[in-house]
Amino acid sequence: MHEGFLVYNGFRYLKVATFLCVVAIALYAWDVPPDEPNGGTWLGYGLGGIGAGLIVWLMWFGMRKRKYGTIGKLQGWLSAHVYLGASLIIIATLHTGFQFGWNLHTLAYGLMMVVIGSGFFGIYAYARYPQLMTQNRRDETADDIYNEIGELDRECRQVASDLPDEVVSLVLASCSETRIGGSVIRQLSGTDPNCATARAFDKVREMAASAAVEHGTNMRKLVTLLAMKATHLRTMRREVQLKALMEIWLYFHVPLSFALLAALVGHILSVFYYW
Amino acid sequence: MELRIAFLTRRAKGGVSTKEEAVSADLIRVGRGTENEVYLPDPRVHLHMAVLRSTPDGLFMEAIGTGPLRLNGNVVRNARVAVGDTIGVGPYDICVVDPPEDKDVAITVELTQPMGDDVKELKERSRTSLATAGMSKRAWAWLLFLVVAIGFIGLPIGTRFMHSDDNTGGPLSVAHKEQISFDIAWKSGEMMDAHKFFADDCAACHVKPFEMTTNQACAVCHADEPHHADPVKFPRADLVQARCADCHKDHQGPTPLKIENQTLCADCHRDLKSGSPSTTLENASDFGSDHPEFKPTVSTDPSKNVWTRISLADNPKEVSDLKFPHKTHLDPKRMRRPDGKSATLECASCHVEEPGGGLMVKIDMETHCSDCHRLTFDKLAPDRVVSHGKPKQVVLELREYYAARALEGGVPEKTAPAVVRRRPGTKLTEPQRKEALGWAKEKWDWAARYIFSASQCGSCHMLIKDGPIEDWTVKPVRVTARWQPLSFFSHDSHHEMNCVDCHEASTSVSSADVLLPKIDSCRDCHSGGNSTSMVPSTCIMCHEFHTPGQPPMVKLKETAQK
Repeated sequence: MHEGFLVYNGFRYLKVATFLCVVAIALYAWDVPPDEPNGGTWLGYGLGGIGAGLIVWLMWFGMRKRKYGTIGKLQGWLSAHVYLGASLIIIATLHTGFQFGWNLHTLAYGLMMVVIGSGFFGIYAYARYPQLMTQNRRDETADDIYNEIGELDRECRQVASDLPDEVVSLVLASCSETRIGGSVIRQLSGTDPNCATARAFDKVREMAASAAVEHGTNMRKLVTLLAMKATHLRTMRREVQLKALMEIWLYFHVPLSFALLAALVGHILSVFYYW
Repeated sequence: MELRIAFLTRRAKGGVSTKEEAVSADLIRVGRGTENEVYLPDPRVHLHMAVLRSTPDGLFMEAIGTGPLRLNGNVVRNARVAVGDTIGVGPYDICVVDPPEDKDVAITVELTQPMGDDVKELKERSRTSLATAGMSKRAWAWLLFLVVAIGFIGLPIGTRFMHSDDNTGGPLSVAHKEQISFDIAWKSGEMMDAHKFFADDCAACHVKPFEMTTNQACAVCHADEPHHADPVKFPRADLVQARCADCHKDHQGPTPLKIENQTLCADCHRDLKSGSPSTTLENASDFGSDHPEFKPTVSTDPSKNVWTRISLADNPKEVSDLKFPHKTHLDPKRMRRPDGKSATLECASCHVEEPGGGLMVKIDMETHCSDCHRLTFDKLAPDRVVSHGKPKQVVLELREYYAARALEGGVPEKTAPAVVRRRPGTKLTEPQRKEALGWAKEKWDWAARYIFSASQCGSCHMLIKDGPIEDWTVKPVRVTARWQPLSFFSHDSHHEMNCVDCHEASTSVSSADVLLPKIDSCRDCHSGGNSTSMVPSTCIMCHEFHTPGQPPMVKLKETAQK
């Protein structure tokens, strides 16, 4: 799907969103409220109603997305979600009449802007990261790389079988302790500062320099195998990093949109509660 | 020592295959190294891990190096082993079994913990998605939703309900000030400065939930604010049902906010008669294009205290009973002081603003006129003047003056009788005294007629010469202090202009002229509230919604009930 949703149907929803914004701006410029422009004028209520309706409808996308219809339809929904969501920046800002404060109302506005901002990062992520992931794996699948790592582990153990116990324990640690990814921070960083394979590689290379003559060949072979494994691990960790970056925005976008929903309900309730 | 080693391999389908080896050695070595008698080719086994030694006391095992050795599950370094014991070496179990007849010792070797699937284990160890790293959109969504819902909906409504018993209304309710109310998070904007002292008490104005703020809530403090028009005479819905908050919206910053948009007035005043047929007011909807000519209130019959509103278009004449030609007074050629020197007057010589710039200080004869208009009555006493403003006292003052002069003597007047001109201090006989007072009466009678002549009092006032001379007087002056009592005008904000730019005083020869500028004069600079090229002037720039003298906006009885 990637960026297809942006150009969907000849930018139909970009046009709809632009039309909506232009009409809102024109009305705002034309309207001279009896007092200051604010959310309580007729235009303010109108823009607020449209904005609230849009927010609920945009959140409905989360439900709609799970009912896997045809891709074309889903793409249309996503296209509308993106463009109409972006139009909220204009509509909701005009609704405020540029009146902000330390209150629930501005909290709702701020949450909405953060949700939209995270959505923009999502668009960037969808456009950028799948491509980077393919480049990173060099046309291999993640499973291919996992199998290559497994094969390298087997070879390492074989080559190490006649080598001193110290070397074997490093190899075993590399086989049994190396992990890809981990905590959220670890996944996003794309590195593992405590990687058993990196440790084994460093130590074995060090030991190879002073190894006994009969172990020399196998030690050098082992260094090469560990280096290859480290390269594969780097690729996989980058893969995990890119995947995490592509997913992480949703962990802001979705929960914050629910916080926004609560703030929006509170906002509407409060202005009529204290009419 | 003769040793039989049986390597056991369990088949996937069940059953065990055995590969036997016979070893003859004094010392049986166990390890990964190929030189070991018991060769265990697994990387988890050290090169040299243990030795088995046969002694007369039995079979002993001994650990070599640091590799852990287990006997029946317990880690040991050295131990005696017997048939039935299991020695654990890395992933292998070595069991001591009954030896065949030709052997001293027999053991079975089995790899009980084969190497796992590297790929599977690596995948199990690795957490490669945010979901497996403990992130949950659903959990965060619920958490944030609940935090906002509780903090910004639950707590405000909850504390409002908790305090609802204390809500006696009004900003001075002490109970409110001491309570924490979370509904301040709902405050939509800064309160005006005058309301800030109860800004944290929403219920002071928002008395009932889901009900617009009521006039009664405002009237707790603003009880006496007069209505726009008498709602009994003009029972228009938009007048009777008008809410304070229609025009006065708070939460819009520190400055008191009243809606100044002229549309609000023009909605009714554009066509006033259609809604209020009994009105005498003319329509007005825009100062620049739809506003009647000014109609000053002028005195038309001072004797009956009649004041009439007359449009400037109808050239109103004010009957003030004062004679005053502005033109003469502003003409330097005609202005002479009593000593003959020329005097130049300007507007500000007489007209001075009151503090605030709204009205002018009242003009006063003693302050503004008496320098030139001296109430003298006798050439021989040029500094002697009578009091102004008290006609009856004038005759008394003249009588007292001339009687005193006659009785004192020493009057330098050549035509006066000798008794009056005698040396002062000499005693008078009764006939002389009568003669002197007779002269005095002639003098004060003459002086009074002079004072009440057209050249003195009569130069400014209308004279009433009814009855004896002691009763002569002047008509009281009724100069208008405020032409348009229901509108504002500030001279202060027009300081940069000259008086004559608006007031045509330099050509006015009669005090009956109403020197108020016509609306067109204002329109040189001012236009309607929506003007962009002139001074935008809305209705309430000059007029007030709350008309003085009208009944109060909110009935006091209703206020008391609240």
